[in-house]
Amino acid sequence: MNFGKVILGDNQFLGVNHADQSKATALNKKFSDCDAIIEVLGWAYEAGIRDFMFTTHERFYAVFEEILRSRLFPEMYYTPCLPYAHKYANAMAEKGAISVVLDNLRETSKLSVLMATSKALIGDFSGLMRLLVQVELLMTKGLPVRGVFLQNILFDLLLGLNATLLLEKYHRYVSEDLGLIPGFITMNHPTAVQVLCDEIGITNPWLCSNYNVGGFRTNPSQSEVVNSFASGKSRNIAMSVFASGALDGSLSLDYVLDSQGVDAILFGSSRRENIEKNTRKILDH
Amino acid sequence: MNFVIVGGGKMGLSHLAIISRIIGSDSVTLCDSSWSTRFIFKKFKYKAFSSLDDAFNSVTPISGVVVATPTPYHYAIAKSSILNSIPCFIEKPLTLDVCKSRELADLAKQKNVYTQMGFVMRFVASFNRLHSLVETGVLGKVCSYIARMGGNVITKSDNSGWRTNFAAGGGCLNEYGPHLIDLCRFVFGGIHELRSATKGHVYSKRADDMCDFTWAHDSGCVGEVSLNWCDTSKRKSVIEFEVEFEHARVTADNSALKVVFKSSAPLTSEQMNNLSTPDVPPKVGFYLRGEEFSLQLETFLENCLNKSFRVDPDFGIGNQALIQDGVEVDILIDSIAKKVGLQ
Repeated sequence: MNFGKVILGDNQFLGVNHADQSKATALNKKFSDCDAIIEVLGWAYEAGIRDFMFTTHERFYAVFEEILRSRLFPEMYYTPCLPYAHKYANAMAEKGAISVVLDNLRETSKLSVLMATSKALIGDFSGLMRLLVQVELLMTKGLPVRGVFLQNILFDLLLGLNATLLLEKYHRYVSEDLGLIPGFITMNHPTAVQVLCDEIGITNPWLCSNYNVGGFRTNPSQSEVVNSFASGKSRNIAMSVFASGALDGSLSLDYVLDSQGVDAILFGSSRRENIEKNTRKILDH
Repeated sequence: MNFVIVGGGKMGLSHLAIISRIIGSDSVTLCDSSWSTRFIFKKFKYKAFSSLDDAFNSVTPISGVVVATPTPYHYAIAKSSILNSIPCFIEKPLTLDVCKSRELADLAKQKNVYTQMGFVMRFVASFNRLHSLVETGVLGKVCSYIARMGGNVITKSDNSGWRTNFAAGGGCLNEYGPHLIDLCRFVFGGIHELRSATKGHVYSKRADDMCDFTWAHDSGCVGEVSLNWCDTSKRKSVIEFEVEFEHARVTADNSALKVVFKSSAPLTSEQMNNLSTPDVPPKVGFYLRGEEFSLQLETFLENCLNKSFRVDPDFGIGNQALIQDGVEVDILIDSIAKKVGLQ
């Protein structure tokens, strides 16, 4: 199973805009309405998009319920990216990391919590990782899921801590036990390739990373990210391809489409004409 | 070479991960009073101690200490580090007591120890640009400005924890104040006079949820500052400036800076184009949660080890806040707190 060439992202639905905070605030308000999100998903579906990649934000519970109830968008695949960090971050500053993890695990069965925490007591955190994945996947129950991605805030943190064993176990759990595509969002593509492929030994992991003509958030440098994408060691989803609208749209897309090592393009938009135009251009390439 | 991170909470974890990627996790040690936190980090192959003294006795040489504990513990940890002549990086605010903050700054001066504050906003590209617009005077003098920081930290009534207790370092003025107060000083210069201040409560009984104040800078320019941590329209905390220059009106937030020129602006069209070009954020060696978090630590390590760790050598040189800036911010928080009746 592979991703389609175009993936719809969810930044617009959550009010994320890297170039304009006031636009971000307005979008956040507009898409607090479930119907507004479904309308945009409908435009994407009609344009030919069959993948939706989203953060496990509580906002999507109602959206997915409605999609299931009304049997909307057949053949659309869903890829959750977890966790939605802001819901944990505030609680962590108040109560500490451990009690936040335990609080959230209460949503799963008592037995699995007991087993995972006992394993954690001997220093194996993979059980807790599995449970967190299970908790966060609850919102996609009944929907066709394509992959499970770790958000950059968590994945890059684990890269920083050099938590190779945990990353390896996560990869194996998602691919072997869940039968889904495991993936990693990162702001450090070259480091991610080095750790996942060279140090852990994963073959062709799916990475999702910034890739754009202006070099926006391509660390440690644009040329190293370009080389890392082209290395053939990973399968790559390019994101921030329009660098949040700061650059000319058509030119930005040409740059990414003509690049080596880009397997899919993730973009988000709240405007129908942009979704149609960009999707057509990517699918026709 | 060893760096000790004190406090394994949200900030400590983030600093530890970034520093580990820059200098290697073998050179990073954690100090935390909680057994379970130490246990977890040991499993990730970090050295972990329950006290700074234990770390000082067991790990040598120590090149730097990062203080990321709750604020009431900053004083003792920073003092111990400075007395041992070890450079330190202290999360904001410096302390909750102006006398203690002054004492630490005096000690650092006396022992000639490099001490950097975690006022991270100085490394945000748009605020760095605003700073240079004021410094170079290319848009003329600053007449006045409005500065706001808003976010949805507290969205329900829960008065049990330290976060909603001003005396324990909680409340909006203690949480958001240091960032925005320091940023205003960094961009517009020293504060001459606090003119008025008010506070507001939404959920917190023992601390402020909103705080507004007006002050005049040494340059004569007047700023209206507003803090609100119960703003549900924001997905995450955002700082916004509206600045009235002689020749332009400038708006800046965490992501972007926009200039609207006045007809009187004595600038060539080329200069105007340059000033209107959006910023590309600087590059960092390892990105975790914003370039600014990596840049402030690259700067700290650079000063501790006398070696450059930057991949973007030109951005924000000399932007970092030092301990004296921490003292100035604590003095201002103290004056505002007294004026609004929090103390």
